[in-house]
Amino acid sequence: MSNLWLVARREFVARGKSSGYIITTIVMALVLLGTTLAPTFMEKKSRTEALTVNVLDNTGQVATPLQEAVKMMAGQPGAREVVMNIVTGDEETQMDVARKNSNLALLIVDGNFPGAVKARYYSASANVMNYAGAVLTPLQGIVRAARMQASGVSPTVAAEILKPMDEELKQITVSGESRSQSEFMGSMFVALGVVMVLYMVVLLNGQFVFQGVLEEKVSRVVEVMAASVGPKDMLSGKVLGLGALGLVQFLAMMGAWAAGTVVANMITETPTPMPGIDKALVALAFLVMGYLLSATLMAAAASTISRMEDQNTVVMPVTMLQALPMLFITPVLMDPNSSTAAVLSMIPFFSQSIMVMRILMTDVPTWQLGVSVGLMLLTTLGGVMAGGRIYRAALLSYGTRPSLKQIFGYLKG
Amino acid sequence: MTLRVDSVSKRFGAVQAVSSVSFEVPAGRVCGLLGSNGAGKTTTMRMILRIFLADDGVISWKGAPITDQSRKAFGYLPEERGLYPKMEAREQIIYLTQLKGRSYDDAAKRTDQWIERLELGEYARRRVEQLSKGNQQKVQFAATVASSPELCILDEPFSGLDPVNTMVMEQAFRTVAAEGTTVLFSAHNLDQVEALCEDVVLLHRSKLVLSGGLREIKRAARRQTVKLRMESRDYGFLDRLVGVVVREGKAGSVEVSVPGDMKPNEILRLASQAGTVVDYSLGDPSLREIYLEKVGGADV
Repeated sequence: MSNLWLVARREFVARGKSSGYIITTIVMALVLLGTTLAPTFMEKKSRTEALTVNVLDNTGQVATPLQEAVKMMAGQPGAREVVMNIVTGDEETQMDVARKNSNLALLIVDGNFPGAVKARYYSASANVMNYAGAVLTPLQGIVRAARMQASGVSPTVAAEILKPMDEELKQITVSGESRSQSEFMGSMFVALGVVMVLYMVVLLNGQFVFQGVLEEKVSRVVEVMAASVGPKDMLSGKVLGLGALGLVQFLAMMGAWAAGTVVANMITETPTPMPGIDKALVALAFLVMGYLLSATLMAAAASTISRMEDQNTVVMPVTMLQALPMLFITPVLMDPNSSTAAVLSMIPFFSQSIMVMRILMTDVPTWQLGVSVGLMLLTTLGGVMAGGRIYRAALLSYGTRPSLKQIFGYLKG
Repeated sequence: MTLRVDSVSKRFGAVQAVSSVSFEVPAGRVCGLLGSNGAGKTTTMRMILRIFLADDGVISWKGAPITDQSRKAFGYLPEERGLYPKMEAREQIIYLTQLKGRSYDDAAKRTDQWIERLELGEYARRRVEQLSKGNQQKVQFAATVASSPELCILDEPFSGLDPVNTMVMEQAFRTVAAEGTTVLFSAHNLDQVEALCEDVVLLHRSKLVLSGGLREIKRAARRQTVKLRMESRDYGFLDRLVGVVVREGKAGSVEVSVPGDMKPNEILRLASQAGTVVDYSLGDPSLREIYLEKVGGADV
């Protein structure tokens, strides 16, 4: 067995057996499974449980027609069941009741009906707040109808005016496909999940490489190794071994996410858009390139120091470079076709997050994908070469950290 | 299977670490590499192992320049000991032996032999970080020699050891040498070097000062050494002699280094006049004396 594979195997086994790696992988997979399933269960629970609304009608004219309107809406597709209780008494008492019951909403209606009606909707739960429209929309209709009637408009005409229009919200893509709003939201969550996993795997395993190189320097085993293994094989073996561990971690997390998605789909009976094999391969290519770039830069950074106390100083710039794309996640999620998203998705260090996000959410023009992959590949090759040179030159240096001038000297070889 | 270092130089920035050094270590011999701190010993060893490449000159083994492949036949114990702290001792020795080209089974067999020789049995399954410093040194030594290297390079192999572990390691050292392994080692304890090695190489300020067989070097030295013990323990009469160097010996004796132009019997004559001579013997200069003559008193 060549020394490269011996080094790779040792790194894989030594780090893979560590409780830190095992616990991190299990926890991250469980978190991903949880975050995939939890919203579905919450949604399912909220959809199946009736929404209870206590109505304190200070106008004396709204409660009954509202109760009838809500009853009429029951049974419509997607509508949540609403149980309305007409309550009386003082406002504070009813507020106390609502505060103590998180599944309850309190609707207070006052003012002059229908000219100046004021509706206040209170709840202790954000989930119940989301369903305010279940009572506020019919209330709006009642108030408007009453105003029209007061203005001489006949009830028939008023009903005709207030009849809701047909709406259709769809995302359109370059290839001419269109997706419903729920499909678009689904692809957004898929993209977010994949990018977060990718980011965490690259960051975590880059850190493992950093720790591995630093540990070898601090424990001085590096000199024993250097007498048997060339620096190229030492670095490549480490990056390969820990990269394989990263891949296992990535697959475990993707497996957890896929399992969560399948279960969620079964519960909600709503298909979540799964990325095709072509998109999965592009994401994998960015994962591999991102990891190689991160790992060699981390190895180079670690090789320039020989004390654990100095690690934050050299890790920070590399970590910041990796974290920078996270600042742009929200605008790209909102508009994956914007020019900002397009430009960022072609710039190395950003592309491994932004381009992956875009290809999972929309149709990216082939030339943009080509430029993105090409630039990332060149940067990775350059980074691996530069990182390798610094690693080779600084590996046996101890004492004072090399200056930037010295590091540039290492790059020249 | 001679190790040949031929006009080798190495510079680190403004520092000339090794300057045109040449020497040979014949096959199966034990050679001590001597010199004060900063003389260039460790850099020379690292160049032999190709950890550093020489700026100039050639280092060859068995008549051919050393390559990554041929250095697999070398074992190396660095001055700054280093092992993976979280790896089990036995697995670590096997791993480092495999890196020298041995299969897992072969490496495991050789590892177990050395674990037994160095009395490490009860620590074999423990992580290195759980072992005492002495036992870590033994593990490191086992990892150096378990591949049965043809050339063993040991940088300060006895430094930091307590007397008991020093004896164990000296015995292990002799075992390796007795098996015909060529050994190049450095040490600051010159008495230890004299007891263990057949050849010496002396570096001073990056340059070679002398090299060759210890016996020949002693014979070639211009000085002789007289060991003298007087009943009165008063050696004041020696102070008047020009060129004589006197050092305190054991049990009230002195070692007198006699310059080439003086007959050692002159010392005996003067001693007899000064009092009762209890012990008198004549011998070659010690390695310490030769070292002092060549490089002065640094680090001895």
